[in-house]
Amino acid sequence: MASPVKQFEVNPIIPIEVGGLDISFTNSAAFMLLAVLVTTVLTVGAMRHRAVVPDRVQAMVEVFYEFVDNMVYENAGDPGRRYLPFFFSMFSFLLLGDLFGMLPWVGYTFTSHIIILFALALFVFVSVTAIGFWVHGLHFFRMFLPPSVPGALAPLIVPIEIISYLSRPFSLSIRLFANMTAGHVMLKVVGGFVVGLGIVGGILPLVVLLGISLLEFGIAVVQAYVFTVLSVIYLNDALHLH
Amino acid sequence: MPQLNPEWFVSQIFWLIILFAILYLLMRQVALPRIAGVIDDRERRINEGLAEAERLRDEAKSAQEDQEQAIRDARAEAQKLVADAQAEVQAESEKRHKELGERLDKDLAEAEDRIARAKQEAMESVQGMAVEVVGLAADRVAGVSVDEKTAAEAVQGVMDQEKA
Repeated sequence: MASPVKQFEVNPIIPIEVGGLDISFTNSAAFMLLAVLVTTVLTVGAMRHRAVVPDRVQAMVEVFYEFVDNMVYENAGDPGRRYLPFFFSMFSFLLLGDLFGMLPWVGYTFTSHIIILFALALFVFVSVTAIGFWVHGLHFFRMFLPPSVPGALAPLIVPIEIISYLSRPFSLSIRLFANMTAGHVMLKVVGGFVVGLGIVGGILPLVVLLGISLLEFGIAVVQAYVFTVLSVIYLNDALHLH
Repeated sequence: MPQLNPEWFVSQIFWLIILFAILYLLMRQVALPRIAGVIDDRERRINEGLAEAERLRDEAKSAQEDQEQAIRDARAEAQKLVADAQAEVQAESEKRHKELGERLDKDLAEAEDRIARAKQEAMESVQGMAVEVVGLAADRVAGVSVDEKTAAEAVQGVMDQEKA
């Protein structure tokens, strides 16, 4: 039986090398492309009639849009809405990435790749910090000392706040990476039990597998949401300080 | 764990940047404005529809009030007509009643008059006869000749006595 982490392997589909760098189009890139295509087809395609009375797909897209719009508005207020396209793209990208992992046989979970998540999280971190300085100038540093904190505690609080601020891209990306990796490893292992124990003995692990699969669908949605909503909250911190 | 293998990091980041940038631009330039446009358009239409419905409702209300007013007017008119007609009929009937009564009174008076005259004539003729009888009786029974004037006085005296 294959190793439970074999499912995460990256394999080149179209080998490309530019200036000594391997930028091959891989299975991971293929699923990222698929996420882009599905999002685009759903949003642009479903809205092509611009129907006042929506059909089912259009209604779904609208509900999704309003959900993300509400999330951004509730967590970052009106100025956060400027960045709605980014959060919408990110949520859709991550959500589809998580859910593609649940496709049987062909599924691949590019959101289990720490480097992709870390790149996204780092982009959010750098952008949010830049927005913070752009909006507040040097007052942005006040973020590391909440106004309710007594001055005497500053030597303690400021380093803690700075460390917590700097650890954001790590916690953001590792959370989703760990969830996806652990979930899919577990699915693979329990699935291995089902096959290994045969028709009679495999029933119990099959039931467990069904339960875990359902749970994984929930985790897929929730973790994509968590990644996005935390990014929005970071943006809110930068826009409004504390 | 393949995810920690740096062999593919460059490729992963490269395709992430390219594909996510495409996705972001598509969403920002095409998809989201379209969705927002449809949602705003719907909201606008719903509000317009509500305003229109409200206007029509007010219109219907005022039309109903007009109609009710018209019905009230018509009813009042009809009642007035009926009352007038009744009053006219009553007046006519009273007039006729009065005329009839007057005629009857007149007839009655005439009749009474006639009766009184007839009675008078009868009485007079009876009195004349009585005077004659008295004169004859006195002549025959007592052999006294009584003139007409005396006999008449006697009869008148008896009649007055009778009347009394």
